[in-house]
Amino acid sequence: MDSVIESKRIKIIIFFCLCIASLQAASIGDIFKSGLQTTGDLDTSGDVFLIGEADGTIEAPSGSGVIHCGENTSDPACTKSGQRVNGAPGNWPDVDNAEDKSTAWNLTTLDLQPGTYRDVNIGYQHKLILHNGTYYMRKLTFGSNAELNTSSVTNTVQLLIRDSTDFSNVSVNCDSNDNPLPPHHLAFYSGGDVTITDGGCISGFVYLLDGKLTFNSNVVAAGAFSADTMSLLDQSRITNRVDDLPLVDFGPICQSNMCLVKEKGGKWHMIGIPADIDGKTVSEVFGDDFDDNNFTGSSSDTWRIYERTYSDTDNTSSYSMVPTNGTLHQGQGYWLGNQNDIVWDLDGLANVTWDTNCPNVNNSKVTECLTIRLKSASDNSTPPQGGPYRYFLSGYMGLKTARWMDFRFKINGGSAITPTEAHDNGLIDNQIWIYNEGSNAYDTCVDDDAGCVVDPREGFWIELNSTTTNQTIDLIIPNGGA
Amino acid sequence: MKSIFKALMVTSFVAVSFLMTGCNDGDKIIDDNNTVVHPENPDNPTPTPVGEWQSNLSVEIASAKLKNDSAIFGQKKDAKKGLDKRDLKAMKAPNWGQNTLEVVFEMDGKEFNTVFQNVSEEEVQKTEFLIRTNKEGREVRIFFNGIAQLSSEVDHTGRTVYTPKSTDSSNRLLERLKLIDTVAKTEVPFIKDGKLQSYVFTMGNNEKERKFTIVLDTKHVDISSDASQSKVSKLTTTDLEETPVLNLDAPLEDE
Repeated sequence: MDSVIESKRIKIIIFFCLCIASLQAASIGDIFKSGLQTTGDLDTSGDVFLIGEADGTIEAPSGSGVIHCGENTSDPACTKSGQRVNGAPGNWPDVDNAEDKSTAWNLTTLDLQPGTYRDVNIGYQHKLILHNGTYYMRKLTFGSNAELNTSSVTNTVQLLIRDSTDFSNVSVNCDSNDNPLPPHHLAFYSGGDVTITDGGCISGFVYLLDGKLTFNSNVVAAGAFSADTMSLLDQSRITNRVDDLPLVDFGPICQSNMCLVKEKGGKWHMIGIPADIDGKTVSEVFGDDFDDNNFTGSSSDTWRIYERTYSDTDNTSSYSMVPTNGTLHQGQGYWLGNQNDIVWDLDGLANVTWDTNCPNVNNSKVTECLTIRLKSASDNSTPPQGGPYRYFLSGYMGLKTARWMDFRFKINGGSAITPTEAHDNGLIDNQIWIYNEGSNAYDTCVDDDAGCVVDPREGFWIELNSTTTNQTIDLIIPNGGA
Repeated sequence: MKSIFKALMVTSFVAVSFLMTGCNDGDKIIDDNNTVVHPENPDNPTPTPVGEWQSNLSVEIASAKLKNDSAIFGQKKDAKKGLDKRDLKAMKAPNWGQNTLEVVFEMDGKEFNTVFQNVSEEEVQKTEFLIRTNKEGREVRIFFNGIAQLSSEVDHTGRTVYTPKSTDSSNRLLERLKLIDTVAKTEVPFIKDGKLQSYVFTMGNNEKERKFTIVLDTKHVDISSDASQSKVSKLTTTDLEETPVLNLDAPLEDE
């Protein structure tokens, strides 16, 4: 009997991990790192793994295992929580006027190098060979029993298709017997709907920004699938074991200077901006993304940016709206409030210029860093002058998750010290606080916790003690490393 | 391949544990769940995890789409029974007219997101926390989660770094944990019949916060009441609250 999972405007990530028992989770995590902590081993036949936030209801597919959801944990079908990761490519090249491969349907094999293409057609039983690198396409179409081959791939194919794609009865990153190849060899972003039906096989990390993902019977799927709206029909063939669910944030899709962020409407977002924003205005950063790029501070505004401003004489601070012609500063965190769902990217912004002369953090993944100056606290700290602490709103500017334990402080230009050392010296707390939109409250962690991380686009609070008065306090921020 | 390796590891572990069972290590016996068994009553052991651990509470107000997983409690060797550097201060939630859900531990009149203690096997550990929201009368559900053992190592700067292992819902420490609703005077076991439980309560008409106590007992918790639930009911769309309209002037008022 067919079972249907259909939800209106559901935010879901679905994980089908099949036949990847030989893969170490860490190897996948190295590429698709952080963001979602899945539950590890689910050594149960037939599990369907769903993670995400669901605004609607979800029904379990009959007889086929467990559904894992996010916000919708009230649903009895949901046993674990997680969230759908924001992030999708922006800064699209001009695919409408790119090289056209629509006549390639008559080629038995199309060996395509990374690049930008308009339409690519692969004919019946024909083969498309892709290599390490990034592909942009307006549309990709397949004939029946066609094949997307990644046999030469040692790293990852990043395939970004603007329009809808139908993978029905197509082998995508699978072998000739429809056994999935390592899913981390394919990161696929779709700007439109994706259909995988009628005996197709797909192995990869598939992210849909707004489109609908449809599976039906006889599909072999491996990897992770993220979509707002998902339709799963007849899970009877999803009978393989789920093992070593990977950590996923679709990071490869969200590369430097092409990152696009979707923010929920009706909420505040405490953000860092992963680009060189020093001296850039609000309009220059967000104006190309939002409808009304000249907000006036009136009630008709649908979005605004706020910054934290600090007293020079005591530890009080307050929020100030940054006007559209107001400038933004590297390393500073901001609040973005928006009435409607919005998407922003980094179009027109330069990459962060990282320093390669960084303190030893004993983490080979950290090769770059950036130093920002914090506002030291004041000793005029007797309440009501704000108390003995200065709370500084920082913004992480990296595109890869960083561990708080890899951050360093320099006091008056001295040696780099850990947050714990700064704390033990009575200068700065080794805690950070990060806003959690799910509870509208703050989460916190310390640098002796290996899981204490700052994700791209996040802001975070740092607490400086009044003992930092008249001292220069520099924060050295690593570029990734988690 | 990996599952075979895993099976071998499990087999080896069980075998080693089996060999250890009954071996008296000073005053302790280690059973096959890697827990300490009190030698004076090995038939009814008091399970205690070896080493350090943590767990977190998941609190949810489904009608307002609020969920908070941030409250962490546990034990670290260098923590103290009271306030110490292992306890992490809570920051007050922004007061911008939005729905909020805070979960904070109370100690010495201060509020914390994370509380670690170091209590001996012979002591009962009590940890008080508050659930606070912006609106009264809401149904709140507390989910109990498994136990994550902590491994620690000293890094090159001399800092002791902790890494939580994966959360284990079969850890026998859970059998010693219970929740006390100090208002309803209800006691709820964290685990019952091998299943993690949840607890639902409804805030009163003028009630925006409620105090609870987590008790780590020295022995198995034995509660016969049926206040806890291992399953949850489905939320219908008619139960959902209307989301407050975002006031873009709110930050000017500060929190």
